[in-house]
Amino acid sequence: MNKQTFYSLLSGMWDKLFGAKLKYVEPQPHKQECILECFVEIPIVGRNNFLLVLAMPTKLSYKAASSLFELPLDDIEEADASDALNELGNILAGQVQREISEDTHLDLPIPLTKEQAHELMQGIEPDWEVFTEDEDDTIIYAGVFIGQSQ
Amino acid sequence: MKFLIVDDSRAMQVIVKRGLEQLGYSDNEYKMANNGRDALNIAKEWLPDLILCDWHMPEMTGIQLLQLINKLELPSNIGFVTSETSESRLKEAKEMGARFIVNKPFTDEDLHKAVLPILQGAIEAEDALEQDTQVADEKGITLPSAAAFDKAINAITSSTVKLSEVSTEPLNYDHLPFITGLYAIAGTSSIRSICVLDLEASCFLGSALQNLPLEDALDSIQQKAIPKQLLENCGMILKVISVLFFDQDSGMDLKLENHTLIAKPFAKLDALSRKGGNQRMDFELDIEGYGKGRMSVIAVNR
Repeated sequence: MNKQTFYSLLSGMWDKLFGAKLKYVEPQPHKQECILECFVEIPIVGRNNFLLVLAMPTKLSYKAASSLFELPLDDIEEADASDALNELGNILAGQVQREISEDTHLDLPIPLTKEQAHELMQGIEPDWEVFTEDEDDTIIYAGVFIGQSQ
Repeated sequence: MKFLIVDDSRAMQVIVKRGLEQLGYSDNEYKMANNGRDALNIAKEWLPDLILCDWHMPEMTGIQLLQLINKLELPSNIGFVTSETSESRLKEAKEMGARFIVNKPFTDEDLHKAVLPILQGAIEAEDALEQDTQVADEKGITLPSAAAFDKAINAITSSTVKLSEVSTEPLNYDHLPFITGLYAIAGTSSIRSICVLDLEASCFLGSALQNLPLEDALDSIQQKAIPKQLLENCGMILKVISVLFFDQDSGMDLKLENHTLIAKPFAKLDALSRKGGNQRMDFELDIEGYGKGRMSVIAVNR
């Protein structure tokens, strides 16, 4: 898998679930760190462990939930938004699992606070990462860390 | 039909339920569970026809649920709707009796292709064919003439259907799903003939019975999903033509045992479809105002 493949997996998932395109954007870590608020990690466990992290601003997780549940945005609660983010992470992890072609299994999604996510990623370079924007220019981040577990 | 949807994500429960509702079966019942343990309790009491199950869930996973359903010999079919893509794990699930595996993210069409064969009894039909039939020898049933098919079909459709006998060839799986009619000797379940309508024939002929809109038929063809109404209409046509079949060995007429939707190829149907000679007839159906499709009639023997 390379960065381009990883981007294709994320944008393909987004297109299939929401019928919307994501565009690739260059990393701007300091700016993007401030914007990203909701994080989930999904362990991909096997002889080699992988960790997928998906992150987006809170308002986008609510918007995603609104679309998945087909409910007005005002009716979406925090639990729904968290559920949507977890499921998106889970689906993306399944796509990554297929690409890495190793005998692995997915573990349950683990929601992270912003602090936990920053601590996790402190000093560790992801092996693949991609920043994208949706049609409203809202940032979505996905990263895969090889050799990491929860 | 009773569906139990098992997923720890409420979003996915809603998406799966919505996908099933798109099938157009208004009399379905649904229950939800967040994990395998809750699902098992519901399954024991409620006996769902189909359990659509995620793999990774807290408390009890989908594969553990499948093991327990098997152990308790509950009559429910189980299919997986999962992000899991590990080949070894999916193989394990299939070997344990999972009827299908749909990977997330999926389209409604993906879900329908997996579920329809169960919903419409195709797996039972497949089992019946696998166990019960071989290609007929010179004896056996006499296939009706093209003129007889023509007369019977045109007697009930609102549009003119022009039947042209064409050379036989293996079924073309690019035109799945098929609707098949299985014909048995009256009073038995001994299958002696099969009639196969390809996707286009099913949608156009089913629409022609009630003069339904062409656009809807074309939409069904594009989606490769045959709605219940068209399935039932084709069932009616297949029932009407059953009066044309006669079994020489028993001296009995055949009746339509069932009509089912076949969403994917299976070995026996494929073997039967490769036979020709006087035990097989193929027709091009040109349905006025709709379009063309193909109908194959195959004689089989015990």
